[in-house]
Amino acid sequence: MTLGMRIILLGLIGLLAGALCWPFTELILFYQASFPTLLLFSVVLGIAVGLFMGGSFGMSEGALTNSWTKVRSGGATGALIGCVGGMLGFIAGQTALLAVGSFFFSTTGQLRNYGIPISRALGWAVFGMVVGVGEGVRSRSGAKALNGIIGGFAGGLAGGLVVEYIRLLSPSSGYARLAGLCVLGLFIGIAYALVERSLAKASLRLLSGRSRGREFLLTQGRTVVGGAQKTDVTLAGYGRVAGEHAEIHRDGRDFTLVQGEGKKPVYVNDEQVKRTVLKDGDIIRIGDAQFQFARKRGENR
Amino acid sequence: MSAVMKRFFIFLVLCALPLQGALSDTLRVSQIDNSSLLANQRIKVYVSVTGNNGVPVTGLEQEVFKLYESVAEGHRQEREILRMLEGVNVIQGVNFLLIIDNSGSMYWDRTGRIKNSSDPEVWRITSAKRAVEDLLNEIRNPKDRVGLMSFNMRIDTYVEPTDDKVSIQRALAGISRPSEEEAFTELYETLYRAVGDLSETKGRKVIIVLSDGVDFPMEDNPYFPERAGIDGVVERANREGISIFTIGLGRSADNESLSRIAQETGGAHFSTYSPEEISRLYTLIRDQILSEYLLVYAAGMRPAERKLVRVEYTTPDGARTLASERFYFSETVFGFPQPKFPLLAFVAVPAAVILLIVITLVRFERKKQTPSLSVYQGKGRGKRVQTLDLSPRKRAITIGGGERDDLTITGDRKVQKTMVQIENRDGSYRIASSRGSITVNNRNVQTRVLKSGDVIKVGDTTVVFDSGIEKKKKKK
Repeated sequence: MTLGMRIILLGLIGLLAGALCWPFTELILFYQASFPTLLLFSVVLGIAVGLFMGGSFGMSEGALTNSWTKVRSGGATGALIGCVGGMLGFIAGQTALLAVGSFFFSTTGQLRNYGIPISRALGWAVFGMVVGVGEGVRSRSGAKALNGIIGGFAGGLAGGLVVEYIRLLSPSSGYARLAGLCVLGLFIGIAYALVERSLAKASLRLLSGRSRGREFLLTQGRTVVGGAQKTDVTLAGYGRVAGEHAEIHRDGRDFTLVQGEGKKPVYVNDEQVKRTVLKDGDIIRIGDAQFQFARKRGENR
Repeated sequence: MSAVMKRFFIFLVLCALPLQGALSDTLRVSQIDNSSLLANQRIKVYVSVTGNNGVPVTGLEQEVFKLYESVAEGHRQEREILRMLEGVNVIQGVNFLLIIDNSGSMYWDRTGRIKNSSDPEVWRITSAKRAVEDLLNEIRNPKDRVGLMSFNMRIDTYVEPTDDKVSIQRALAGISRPSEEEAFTELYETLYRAVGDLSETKGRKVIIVLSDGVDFPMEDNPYFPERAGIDGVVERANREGISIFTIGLGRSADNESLSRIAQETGGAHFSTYSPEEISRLYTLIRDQILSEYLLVYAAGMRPAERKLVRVEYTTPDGARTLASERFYFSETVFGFPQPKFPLLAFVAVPAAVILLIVITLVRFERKKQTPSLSVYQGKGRGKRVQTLDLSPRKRAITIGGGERDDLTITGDRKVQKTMVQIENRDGSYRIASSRGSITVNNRNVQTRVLKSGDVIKVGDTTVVFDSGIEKKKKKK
């Protein structure tokens, strides 16, 4: 799977996440009058949206690598974080509404047309941020968490603006909300993938075998390569690959390939190594899988 | 009826006008503040109660008020008044915007018979200016702000609400007689713009407009290219929560329209025949606003774009009950629910879940089995430009720049005729160069057997060998 494909698939998962939470938002909206306050109503709505979106994004890494283990752990972590994110996002939206709304938009007309949509979009951005952080928390990676924060924020803001303006154009249409939520999910997914690509300083591309052309971004401080499902670069369908065959450590600008615990052979440019700093264009062989290491353009040295 | 009698009758009527509706108590919901709705569900309702001659009634108890909220006709619901504050505008301050008609007729005398006097003492505008001066002198609260605007065919004076009295006095002195060409009275458009400008100011906002004529628009007026009309003024003022108080001066004043604007925006209308009265009316209006009661209640949760608030006031002696209503916009941050719950929407849940499972189950892998050579060109790792599938029966493959080569590389000047030969011996591919050494996996070699994923450098072009997917490897 190429990076372009990854962007599309993450966007698609986001879109499905939007469709998934839509009926629940309709249900909560329908019973709006039963809530004692608008704040509680927003919190419940935030939790519902966060639960499904967070869960869907959390499982996305597993879904793309066919790893049910990652689907389960990521989905659960994501859903949990999503609930918090949804709640925080909606409260943030309201705080933004009060601060931004009443400070910059003192007129009701402006408040209706800009103040509320923009501050609610800010709320969506905070929501996207917390949803995006899920994968980082699951894989205990600060870099991935940062990726999620930036991507989720950007996607949430852009998607939130679309959602809010769709709502403004047709306030009572449930299908407009469906479209809005799908767009929101789509944007968060795409933004996550785009930020991931622009933040990654280097990547590994598979040169052979079943997953030829697949690109693994080296975003984490420590990337484990192997046949086991919990690894970051999972090699399924390649011979002579150990569970945790090798690791790549990032240290500042340097990426170092380290032989795994099992002492299985690792080759760089056809030479067996135990530990070596990778150069742009290096060919790495792990079992029957052969990768090319590449720094991002402008990162060559 | 004799002419004298007639004139006397008109005089009586005109004298009575300032007392219009003032012989009995009045109740008015002057403003609704919904800015705390999202934070704590609170709605603030400003209520004005006036007695004889429009004098505000003070010292009322909370019990005399009752408050109802409704989303539509017939859905009225009583809401508990959580808090009542009197004189809240004294603490918060008030923004007054005084608008004065500066048309030619303001330079006539009070009766309208002397139209070209050069003595300013005769002019109506002089009394209006004095009234503004008086109001400025009266205001001691540093939180109160006064703005000034005068208009005819255009807005010719405008000072935003300020606590700098000197700038108002200076602007006041600058108001001068308009030329003949400016003999239009753009009353509604001036008000519309004033409401817009004042809406940017925070706090309690009040416009007091003084006019001695009717709205007399100029066609294609360049100062007001778009027209809102009286309806636009009322709608905008309501939306922004600005009360417009109106004073009609003299017999030509359009009291009907001025009264409508005042009533529908939570202000009050006064009509007077005497310019000296203006000062007293300014004071009265200010007193009314400063004596407003603030009622705080918790809004209901029924979804609606706007809600009607009805306040009922029972006079302390219990004799009469007065009511006044006003809308507020209850912001619908999430849109409105559909009238009937769409049970069908839940179809989206299994649909989305199934698709997510499908994405998880689909393996984004190649199914192709045959060995191949892929060509990459361009900066960095390059883009794949072509792939050649290798037939197992083919014994020898050549790579080069010539058309007769099996894999022809174009667009690379360093690639000449035949650069590399690959020999196939029972599925084992051996590479050799036609001229010296070749670079495989960043290493110079003479010849070697290719493994899957080996990278061959040919000029500036990269060729990747893939042995395909072999069944026996999968079994392992």
